[in-house]
Amino acid sequence: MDRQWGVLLLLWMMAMAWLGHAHETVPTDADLWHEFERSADARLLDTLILRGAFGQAGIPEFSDWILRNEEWIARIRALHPLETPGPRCRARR
Amino acid sequence: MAAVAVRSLFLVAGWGRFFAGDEPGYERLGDIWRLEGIYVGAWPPGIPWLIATAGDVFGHAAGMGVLRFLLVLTSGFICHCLMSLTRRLAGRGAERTAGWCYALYLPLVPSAHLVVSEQLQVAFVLPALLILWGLVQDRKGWRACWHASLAGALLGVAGLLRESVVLLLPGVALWMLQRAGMRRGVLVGGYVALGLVAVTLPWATRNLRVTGQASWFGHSAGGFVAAGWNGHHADFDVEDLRDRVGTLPMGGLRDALLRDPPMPWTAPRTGAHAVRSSENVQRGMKFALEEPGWMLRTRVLHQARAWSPLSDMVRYLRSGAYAGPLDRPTVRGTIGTLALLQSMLLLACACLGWERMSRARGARWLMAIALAAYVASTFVLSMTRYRVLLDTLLFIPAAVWWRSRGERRPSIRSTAGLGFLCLAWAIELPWILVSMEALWTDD
Repeated sequence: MDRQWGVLLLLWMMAMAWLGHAHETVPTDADLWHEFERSADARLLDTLILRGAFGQAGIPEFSDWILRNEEWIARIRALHPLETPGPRCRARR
Repeated sequence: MAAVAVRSLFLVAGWGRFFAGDEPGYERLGDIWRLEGIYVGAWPPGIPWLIATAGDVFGHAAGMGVLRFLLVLTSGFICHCLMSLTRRLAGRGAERTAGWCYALYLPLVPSAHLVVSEQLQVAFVLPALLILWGLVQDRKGWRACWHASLAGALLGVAGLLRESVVLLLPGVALWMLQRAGMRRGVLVGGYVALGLVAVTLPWATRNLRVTGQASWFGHSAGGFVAAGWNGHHADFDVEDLRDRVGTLPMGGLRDALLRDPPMPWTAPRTGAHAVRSSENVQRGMKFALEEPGWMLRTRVLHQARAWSPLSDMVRYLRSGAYAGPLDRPTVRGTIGTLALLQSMLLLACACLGWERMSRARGARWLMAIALAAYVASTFVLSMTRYRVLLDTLLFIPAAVWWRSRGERRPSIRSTAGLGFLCLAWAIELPWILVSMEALWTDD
């Protein structure tokens, strides 16, 4: 019984250490924005939107930024083929 | 086999025409994940991940088809787990009855071929409950620790498919403590929690890095609160029939309950999911405290909907989800009426059989955990498809009653339960009448 408690405690400590490490290495919104400006990675754009980072910490408002970046408007549209009418959309009532 | 055969029939009949429920939303999230490599939704990631992975391997349309086929197959697995659980809780006779009833139960059919979370959640929760039941009966030592971790992992996967699993956890913890004693209960509960965390930790870590919040499953609670604790009454099951109920019997009661609605609050539309969800919960709670009368009146309607016999089967038949002969008014009406009667029969039989289940075997505890989780969710928002897990478990008390019917008269508590069900069905009467009219007519 005591060994089972010991193993349980050890495994919980490992799980918490993992989470603690993840907490310490979380990038800030500003870090992600600089990385996005450098790499133009679409996933980072989604991450910034998911975090609600636009308009904060020196990052421009999304509407201002997208108006200045027409190539991103085209790129975002190309990424979402489901929005274009297809057989599935037509079948939907 | 019978469960898979019945569901396959409806899968074929509806092939290419599915558009119902949350499926389009899951599909879109899955496709964004596949195309952009990132998950952007507030729901738990399980179903979108499956859609993204199937789309990667087979292409989008074929991937959805493969998932539908696999979901139909899981109903066979669920039937097997249900029969095993029934055998342990109620004996061999009830096992066969429960199995056949599940196989032929039409209200659960749509969740088996739509790519949504309800059926898959059941496929993970049932084996977890089966393992937990064995655990509190006799397993000890390392075997118990291993089984507890496995049950926790299964609950973790179920949570990654559908967040409502969280509502089962307090009941499971209490069950462990009550049946296994404080010391062993905490040890076993610790291993259950460890299994759950082991499965969800990578997702929580990912959330931490991507969204800045370590959420373990998803952020859907805020959406439910915005729909359920607000100045408008959300009735997603019958939204299309709303204008037709006022003149029907009992329709006036609904209108009276919904008179003078307070000013609704609006949910924030921008910002991180976690922040918006918690903001919604705060606004909803503030609204509930400020408008207790409205909350009470709408809770009556939500409870009536929670026990309504109008299942997804009736809803999808009404909206023309099935093609060919199944879309003819007579066939549609017959199947819809059968589904309605099956739903009423299951709830009534389960109500009568509840007290006949063995107290010693822990059957009532298990039922109470599922019932408490379901009722807790219906105090926020009700839809009949939220009852998929509970309905599956209700085959156990229903089978117990069926096997022992006529042995003794129903108790006062069972009769009171039946009275409550009849009251709920009376409040639902206008929706039942309108749905039946839509099924049997050709407009």
